[in-house]
Parts: sequence; structure tokens; C-alpha cells
Amino acid sequence: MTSNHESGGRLSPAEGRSSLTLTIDDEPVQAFAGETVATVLLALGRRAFRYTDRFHAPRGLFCGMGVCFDCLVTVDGQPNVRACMTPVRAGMVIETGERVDA
Amino acid sequence: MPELIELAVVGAGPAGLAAAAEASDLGVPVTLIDIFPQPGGQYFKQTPAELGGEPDEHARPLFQAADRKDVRAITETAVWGIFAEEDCYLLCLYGPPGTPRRLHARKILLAPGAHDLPVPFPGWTLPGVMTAGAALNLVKHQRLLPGRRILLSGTGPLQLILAQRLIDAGGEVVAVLDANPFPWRGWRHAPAAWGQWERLAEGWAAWRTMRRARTPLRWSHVVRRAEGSGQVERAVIGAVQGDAVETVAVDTICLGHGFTPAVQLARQAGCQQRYDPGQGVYLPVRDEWLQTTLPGLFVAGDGAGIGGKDVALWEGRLAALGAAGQLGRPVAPDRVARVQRELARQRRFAAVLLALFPASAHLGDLLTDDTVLCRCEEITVGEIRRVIDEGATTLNAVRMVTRAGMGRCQGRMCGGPVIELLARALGQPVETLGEVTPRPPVIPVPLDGLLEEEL
Repeated sequence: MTSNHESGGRLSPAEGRSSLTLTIDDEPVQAFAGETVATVLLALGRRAFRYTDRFHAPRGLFCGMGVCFDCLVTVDGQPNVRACMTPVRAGMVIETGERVDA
Repeated sequence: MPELIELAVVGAGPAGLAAAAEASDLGVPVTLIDIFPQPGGQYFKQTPAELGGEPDEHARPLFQAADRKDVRAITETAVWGIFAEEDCYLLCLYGPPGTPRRLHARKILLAPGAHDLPVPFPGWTLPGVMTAGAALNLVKHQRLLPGRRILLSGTGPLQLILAQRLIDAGGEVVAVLDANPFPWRGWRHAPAAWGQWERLAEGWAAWRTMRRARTPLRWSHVVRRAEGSGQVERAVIGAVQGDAVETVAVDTICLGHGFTPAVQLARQAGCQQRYDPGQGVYLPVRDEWLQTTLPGLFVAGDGAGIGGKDVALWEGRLAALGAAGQLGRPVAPDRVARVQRELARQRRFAAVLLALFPASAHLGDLLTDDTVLCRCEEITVGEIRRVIDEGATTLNAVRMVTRAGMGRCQGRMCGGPVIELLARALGQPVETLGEVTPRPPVIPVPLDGLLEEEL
């Protein structure tokens, strides 16, 4: 493994990158301005963003450009938001479908 | 009454940006509408400034065009329907608060682009299986390595570019599988590649990076199955045709089998479509100005058939010249001739790439009865086969009985695979099986978003 990425797969930081704090499933999480919700979840090692209705199968990021609607999470109480299309904001509250079994 | 504008350009990728620049050069005020916060589309997607991004230098003149006074950009906004009225079109928009919900446009230039061609196989819904486009966006524009042990499966030179990006970022690319055989006959196409030095150099540099990292490139190979609990942990790979398989440990699989055009809006508006056997999809019929069968409605770029960035740029310019001419602006014949010449040259090269690296005809062999075909409604291959056995003979019939294609993505993922399954089962060509009836909204919009005024 080469060393030009930090833990979680983030590449070496750009100068002046500004961090912010948001909440994912009741836990405070650090993220960086410019990242999407999908990026933050993947950097935490969270591959499954939700479980499907019919087969209770895990789903995560697939198309990465807003077309497939697989990466849905709840953002500030609004359900079915595409994680790949949603830039993070300080104080944002994100709930993933992983809480179904919790 | 909605505001009346002269020209609406829908989509701010290569085609839309080039069209906006060309139209504005001729004195046509442009309204440029795009779903993303920043212009660029997928090819010229901009890395957020907060993550250290700077616009691609090739794209800088295009972005400057988007900033002109007579170009009004409406961002983070979807166009969910287009309706012909007496002497203009009604566009229905949904965007952030304050965005107009309706516009009247004398002319419309659609530049909706494309997305990665969905190629289903057992396990393709597991987290960690993603499109090549998703992986490229992560590593290039989100500055995140999408995984540690990454397998690429698909076809064509874009896979090499993605492999290079992942390797440069410190990822381990286990292998690159190309579903097509090595293009031995590629030399025959040398005349069409003449002059494409920049792209040939890009491909060569990517190949060298793979060589240095000892990443194998395996021709006529494909991922046959993805396995894992909760996310992908193993890929079963093998020759496209044949039974021999091997299992490799991976945490990420990137699928890059090519692209499929975003034809939904043109279809919903009522443009006549024609089946294109080369691309395997229905495409809007266009005249020499790239005008559809609806007068004053043009389509440019990948959304009218996959040609890539350079074809899109020149098509955007040509369609803009056509629209400007219809709006009464004087269009210089030498400019038209130059644009047509460049477009023809770029189309020749695009045709070579498509001929050498087509979507393999054998990918349908990978499907098993328990493969989920419709990702949204979770409809399996077995369920669709049963409906066909019971007598369904059209795409609409399969759709209505099973709900395949009626979920949130509105068939963008499973539309092609379902129709291919139907064609195989019935032994009939795809073009005899009908199209899905398009209905607005062509993209999911909250109920109150359909209203003419914000609540």
C-alpha cells in the first residue's frame, strides 16, 4: 500500500481544506467542505447506505451521478435523498437505512 | 404566464457549453439549465474548489462562455417535462427555492449526455460494485479512493484511464478485464485516428502506468459474478464465452462497458425515435442541423447517440448555429462549413472506438434466474422470464405485469437489459418489441415540485 492516501481512502489533503462536523446516525462525524454525503459515508468504510424493501439487500453508491437512485439516505429529515448528489453542510443530520436492524 | 426566452439549453456538459458559447457569439441570449451545482457535465466535471479543484484548462474557454452576461445559468435544476405550444415550448423545471418552475422557450437545445451502460450480472447490486463513472468521480473530483483492491470490468480505453487514476492515487488495481478481444484489426482504422494525437498519447500514458504497476489487462474476460456478505468481497471472473472461472478477492468492482444516451426528455417531448442497431438503442431522428422532428427542438452530444466529448462539442456548435439561424441571426457559411468538417472528423474517430469496443453481445449469458434486473423494484430475471413464458411480447407488457422499470430510476438502469432479455427469449430483434411509453415527470420530483408556483 502506498502512502498517498489517509485512512478511509481520502487522498492527501488539499491546502486549506476546511473541515466541518455533521451527524450520521446520531454520531458526530468530521467531513470536508466540497465532499458529498456519499464520499463521507465511504470514507467511514460504510459501503451499505440502506437496505431494500423486498429482499432487505444492502445498497450503496452505484452510478455516482444521480441516475440510479440506489444511494438514498435521509438528510435533515427528508427521506430518499441521493447521497451522491448532496454536498455536506456543517450541522447536517444524516440517517442511513442501517438503523433498521439497530 | 411563464417568462418567454429565446433559447433554452438543457445540460451544461461539453455539448451544452459549446452550444451556449456559439449561440451567444451570434447574439442569442441563452438560458443554460443543469442538474449539477457547477457546469461541466460528466466529462468536464469540476472538482469542488474547497477540495483544491481548478477547472480543466481545456474547458476554461467553455466555462468562461457560461459566465457571459447573456448566458443565464440555472443550476441544480431538473427539466422534468417539455410540451409543445402554439409557437414555443413549455419547459417544466424543478430546482432550489426561487428557481422558475415554468419557462416558455422559442427554441430548445437538449444536451442531456449519457450515463454508464448498465450491465447486470449476479451480485451487481452489492455495495462496492459501481460504475466506472462513479469511481472516476470519486477519485478525480471527490479525492477519495473508492476501494483498496479494485477490479475493472468493461471495455475500451476509458478503462485504462480509470486504472491509471486509481493506481496514481495509491489503489491496487487487481486487473482490467476487457469483454472484447484484442483489437488486432485496429491498424485498419489508422487513417481515422490520424491527428488524434492527444487522445492516443493519453491512452499510451495510461497503458504505461498499468505496466509499471504490473496490472494485467485481460482481453475477452469479464466479471461473471460478485459475491460477499453486506458488500462485495470476491469476484468470479472468466472468459466471456466458456466455463472456466477463477475467484479473486476484491472490495470494489468498477463496470465500464460504455455509455447509454439520456434520451428520456426528447422522447417525452414527442420527438420521433429510430432504432440504431450500431448503438443498440432508440435515438432521436435529426436533420442536418441536429433538429429533431419537432421544429425548433435540437439534440446535441451523447444524448443523441454516443460519440464522446469531441463529437459533443462540435454537435453543440452545429445545433446552436441551426437554432440561431431560425431565430433570425445571420450565420456565416464558412463557420458552418468549419463546424461540419470538424464534426465529421470527430465522428470518424468515435465510430472506430465503437467498432473496436462494442458492448459485448455475450453479456446476457451471465444472467441467472435470481439476478436482480430492475434494481429499484427488485424484479429478478426469473420473474421476467416467467411473464414472457406466460405470453408477454412487448416491453410495456413486461413492465406493467412485473413493475420492472417503474421505480425511481424510471428504467434508466433496467430498460436496456429487460428488452434484451425479451429479445433473446422471443428470438426477435429488439426493434420489434416496442418502446416504453414516456411520461412526465421524466425524473422523480416531489409532488409539490410539479406545481407552477412554490408553495
